[in-house]
Amino acid sequence: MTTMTRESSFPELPDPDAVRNSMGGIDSPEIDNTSDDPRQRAPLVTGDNDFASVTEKVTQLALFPIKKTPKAWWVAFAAALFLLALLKFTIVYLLVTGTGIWGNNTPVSWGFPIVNFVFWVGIGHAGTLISAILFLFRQNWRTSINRFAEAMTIFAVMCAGLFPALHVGRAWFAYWLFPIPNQMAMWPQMRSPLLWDVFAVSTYATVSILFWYVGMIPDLATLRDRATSKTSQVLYGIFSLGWNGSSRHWVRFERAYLLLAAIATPLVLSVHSVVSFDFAVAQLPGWHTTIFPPYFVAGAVFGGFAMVITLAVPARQFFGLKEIITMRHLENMAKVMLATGLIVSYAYATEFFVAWYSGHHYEQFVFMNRPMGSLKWAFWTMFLCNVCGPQFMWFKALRNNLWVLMFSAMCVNVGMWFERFVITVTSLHRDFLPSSWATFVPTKIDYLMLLGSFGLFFTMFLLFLRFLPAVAMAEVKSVLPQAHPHHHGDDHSSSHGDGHDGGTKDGEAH
Amino acid sequence: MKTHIDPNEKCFLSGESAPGGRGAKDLWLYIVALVGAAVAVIPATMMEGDGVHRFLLAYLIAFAFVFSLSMGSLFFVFITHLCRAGWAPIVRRPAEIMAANIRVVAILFLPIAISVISGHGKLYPWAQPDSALVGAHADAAEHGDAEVYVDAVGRETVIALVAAEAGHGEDEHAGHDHAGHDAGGHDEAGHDAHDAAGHGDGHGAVADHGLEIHVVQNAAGDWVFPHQVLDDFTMKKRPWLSQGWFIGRWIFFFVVWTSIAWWYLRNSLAVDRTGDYLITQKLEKWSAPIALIFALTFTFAAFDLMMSLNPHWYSTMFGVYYFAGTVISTFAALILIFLGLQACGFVKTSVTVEHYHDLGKLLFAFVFFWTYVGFSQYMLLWYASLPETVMWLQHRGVSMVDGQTNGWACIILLLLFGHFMFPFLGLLSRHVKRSRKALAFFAIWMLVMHYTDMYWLVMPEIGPNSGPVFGLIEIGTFAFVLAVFGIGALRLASKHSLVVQRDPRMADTLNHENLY
Repeated sequence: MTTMTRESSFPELPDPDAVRNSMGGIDSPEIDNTSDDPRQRAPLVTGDNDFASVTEKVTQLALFPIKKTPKAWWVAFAAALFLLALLKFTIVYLLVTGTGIWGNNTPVSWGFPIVNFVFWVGIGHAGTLISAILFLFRQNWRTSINRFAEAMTIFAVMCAGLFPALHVGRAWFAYWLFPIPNQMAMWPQMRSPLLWDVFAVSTYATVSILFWYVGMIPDLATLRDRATSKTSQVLYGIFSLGWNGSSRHWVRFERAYLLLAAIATPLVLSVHSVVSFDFAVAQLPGWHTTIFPPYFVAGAVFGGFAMVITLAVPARQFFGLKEIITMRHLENMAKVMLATGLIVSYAYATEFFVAWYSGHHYEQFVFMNRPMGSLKWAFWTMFLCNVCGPQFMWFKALRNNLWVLMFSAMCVNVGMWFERFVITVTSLHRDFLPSSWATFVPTKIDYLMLLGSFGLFFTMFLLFLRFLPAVAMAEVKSVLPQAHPHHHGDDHSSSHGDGHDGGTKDGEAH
Repeated sequence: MKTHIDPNEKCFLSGESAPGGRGAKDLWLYIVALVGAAVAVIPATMMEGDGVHRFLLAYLIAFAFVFSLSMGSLFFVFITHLCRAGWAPIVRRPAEIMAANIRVVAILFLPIAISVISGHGKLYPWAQPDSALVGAHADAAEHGDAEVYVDAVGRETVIALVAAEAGHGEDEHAGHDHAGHDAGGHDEAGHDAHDAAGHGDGHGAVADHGLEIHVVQNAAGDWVFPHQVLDDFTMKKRPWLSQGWFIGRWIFFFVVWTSIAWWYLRNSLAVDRTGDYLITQKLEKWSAPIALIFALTFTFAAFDLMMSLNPHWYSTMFGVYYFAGTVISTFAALILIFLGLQACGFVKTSVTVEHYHDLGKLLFAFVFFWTYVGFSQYMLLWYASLPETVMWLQHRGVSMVDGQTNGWACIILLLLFGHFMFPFLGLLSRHVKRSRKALAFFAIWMLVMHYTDMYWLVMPEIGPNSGPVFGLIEIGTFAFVLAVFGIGALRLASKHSLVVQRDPRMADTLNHENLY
């Protein structure tokens, strides 16, 4: 590395457009690797790819010079920056004016901020599920999507953290949420699940960032080694922590990755369970129900996978990743979305049944008020989007149609936001005393802030796509047939026929 | 270096036909069943007090246990197909057999069905004719602190207080407004236990202020929990909790489960014969809708079997809770079945330590999942402390209030340490999961804990005057039910290969290795 001091020593990159379009580019045909034939596993990387071409495809995204950045990226980035500016404006307005600019009222003291918080935390679940739980379950197809799903997780948690911090009213005192010794002997309310949330979400953010970063080290070293400018070489060099790819490094890396996966797995369950406690410990009908923790976790994974699909489909099209994020990956994600969507529907059904079964007229009122009361439009939007929206995914032809897939994923994105809205607002707006009933009317600022949070999310995500290895190259290479000693060439059927291919189970789709 | 086995060569399966077989070899199971039945029935008829009630509860525990084995096996079969698990086919056949054995479980359900039809309401308080309803208000003054309700046929039911702490004076009647009460708008720490017979009638409920156990006197004059007489609160659930509809839906459930389980077994045997990958593809494809059917039917089965023991109580989590325990018992059983078979010389080469390792990992995962579900259910009920739901915990020994824990506390503590902490720590290590002896110990341990879990759910319904009881009735019913289940399973197993053959994923499952 020390020898590479002169600008001229940096390698010349091929033309990025040429690389993008050579294989798996926007105009290249979709390769169908969604076969259900149980005799052989479908390949996880399509096309004529090997180690070098995977490296090339992924690194060029991060390394090509600014002026060669694809136009689609600039357009998206400009839009995201605009929304981010909007968020900044609303936050400043909020800080100088106060939370009265929101539609929150009595009795609906939890309005958009909580809805948005739960929505974004939920989005953040898919990343850790893919990187931790699917890792433990040996789901090798995770390798192509885990990196950017993890990145998505972190940015979603950032968006989520914003809302409670602002909701405390005096955001500059938000650090009071932490039990910091102070001369006023003032402590947070340890019995409140809102405080548990502070710890749950901050732990989750910490472990997610660690997991993401640790997994990225070998790939950062690849970028360092292929850097095209001094600045990028130094920066990638610092963050790759002196990785040199020795087997000792790999042994420790893999052990660390496994341990982090084991630690992150309970976190996938715990974070949204604690979020559900915010509601469920209350004695409020519609909130107090014991199925809330797993139901919220399933809903979070549901919404998270919808967002991964939302991001993956355009990203693979525009960044030439069609052969790495294949139809198989999209199909598997669609199935996970359907499965978790059905769990959510199951929870809805159980809640309605038990509301009736409980014999409680308040419980029954709340559950009848949802589909039939003044906010029935919100309930039915949720129902259509969350219960009906993913049903298309039962059918292979529809799953494999990118337009239908995106439609279902969009339905879920919308539906999961409305689910939190329905839970929060419909339980609150009809208080126990009819004289306290109120209508919740969101203000313009409410809407703008929600919109603005997407600006934060997409700005971060686009920067990530542009400057970091968007696909876990090292992991994808491990599922290529070339990575296995018994590999007999590219002809998969021949390697299966003789039953000697020890790598079949490691290398291919589940 | 691991030897690779050619999936097309059948020699590795030679000598791996079934144990037991027809004839005298399962005679001992018949003996166990008969002795068990005798050991349970005789003391139940002879004991003082309500032996029938205790017998039915003990029987329900045993039934819930074997029902777990069948339903958990069905879950294992469809979930491994659904996920196209490459490691699993070699351990799937015993699960297919236990799942298909649901037909024997359906026969074992008969005593429960008969107890429901007979209308005495001993097992399920709602399983009584409407004429058993209590409700008409009588003069409470005659009975001092008690309130008296007269049912439709003139029987008196007395609601009284049993002071758990002698000399405590807080036994006044709290005239709470029920509407405000249902809403959960409690403004004080002690709530009235309003799940009494008078719920919804506008009667004043009886205050317990956190220190008394709420009991009522039933038609026979015994002191029972308020939910154990048929009252207005239970009657609100009549459209669901009625004798006819209960029997009807359970017939439907058993038809559905038996059809599904046999569909899997039949098709799996067809793969054995033909090796046709299209059959496997079909099984994998249809596993998705089957998962949906399973989730719905199993939830209502769980509600029916154990949640409706206390018709006042409800928990949306209950189906998931029973499911978690069910899956634990299945993984434990599969581990023991293969260890047992291999000890007898069967399937010695095809099932390896790698498969045990994976079964152990799943056992560990579900120990954790059970804890997560159990804790969530407990914590939410306890935290909100709504009388009609927290009473269920109180009856089971869980209370934060001094003087209110009862004998059942030791059972829930046993579950906390035995069902969670000990196996959690024990199964954490890779070496334990790869050691046959250690894994066998934890598999047996988890089966014992699953029985304890079922016991904790069911047996406290024995009434307010009894702590944990365990004796010949429980042992006998369990032996009987398990032996009958075993007879059915062995009969099926004796006709078929103990491992699948010519499965399209044979190479994956035989050469399976755990990299981590």
